[in-house]
Amino acid sequence: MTTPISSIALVTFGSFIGSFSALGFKAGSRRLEKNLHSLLTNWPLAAGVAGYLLSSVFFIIGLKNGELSILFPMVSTGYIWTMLWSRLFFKEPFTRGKFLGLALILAGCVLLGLGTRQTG
Amino acid sequence: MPILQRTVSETTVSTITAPDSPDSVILNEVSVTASTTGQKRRSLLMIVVFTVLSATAQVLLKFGTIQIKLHPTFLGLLTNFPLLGGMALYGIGAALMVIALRHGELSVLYPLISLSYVWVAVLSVVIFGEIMNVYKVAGICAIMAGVAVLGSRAHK
Repeated sequence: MTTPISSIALVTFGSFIGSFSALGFKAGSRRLEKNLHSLLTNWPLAAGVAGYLLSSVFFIIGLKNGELSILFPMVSTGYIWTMLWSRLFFKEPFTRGKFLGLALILAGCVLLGLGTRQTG
Repeated sequence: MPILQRTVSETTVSTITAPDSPDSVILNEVSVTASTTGQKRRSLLMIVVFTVLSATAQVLLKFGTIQIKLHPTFLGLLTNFPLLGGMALYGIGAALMVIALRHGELSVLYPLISLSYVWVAVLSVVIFGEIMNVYKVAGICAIMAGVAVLGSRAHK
């Protein structure tokens, strides 16, 4: 089975959108209060949920065709975006620890993807 | 060969947080940065719990989709308890994740979600009889190492 470019594009785009939804979740969680009104008017949270659902749609369509070993690591590219947005919007510093941790996680995802290919 | 390793302290950073219990200082509760070590640790723990819930949810959803194929009717969908349970668990997990993100850095906490891939890989072997191989073991180890590195930075 070969992996069509369209599937790769869909999954990569899905994780790109997903990284924005993480921003919405973070911004929304800062505004959390224990009353219904504030929960319903928490627009960053709502945007986060919408983005999350939208990214799932892209994942589901993308993962229908193609090999999981190729597509699975694409999902984890979202973490790279999230790190970038965290610095841009929340002034979170880049550190060596974060780069190392992220690199290990990405490598792990590639390996897990390869592992699914092995068993077929 | 001598290796020069200058540890530039990475955490000399940024806004000094109030030393203790910003909980008691309610005047500016929403305005960020004042998260205690305890709160950050709790966030970390909540994310880990979230990954377990999400992995369990995925297993339930898998059972659910198998059941859909057996009873492909509307009534079958309504009584598809693995599917419904999986969705509910996903919802609970997502709520927990949002609460967890309140304290600590997004760039540290968010990649920890990859821990759910580890649980899914293990559960797939235990429950669905998938075969464990060298790549999977290496992948699991790498992700856990990455999570450990990120997690150890989280309190700083």
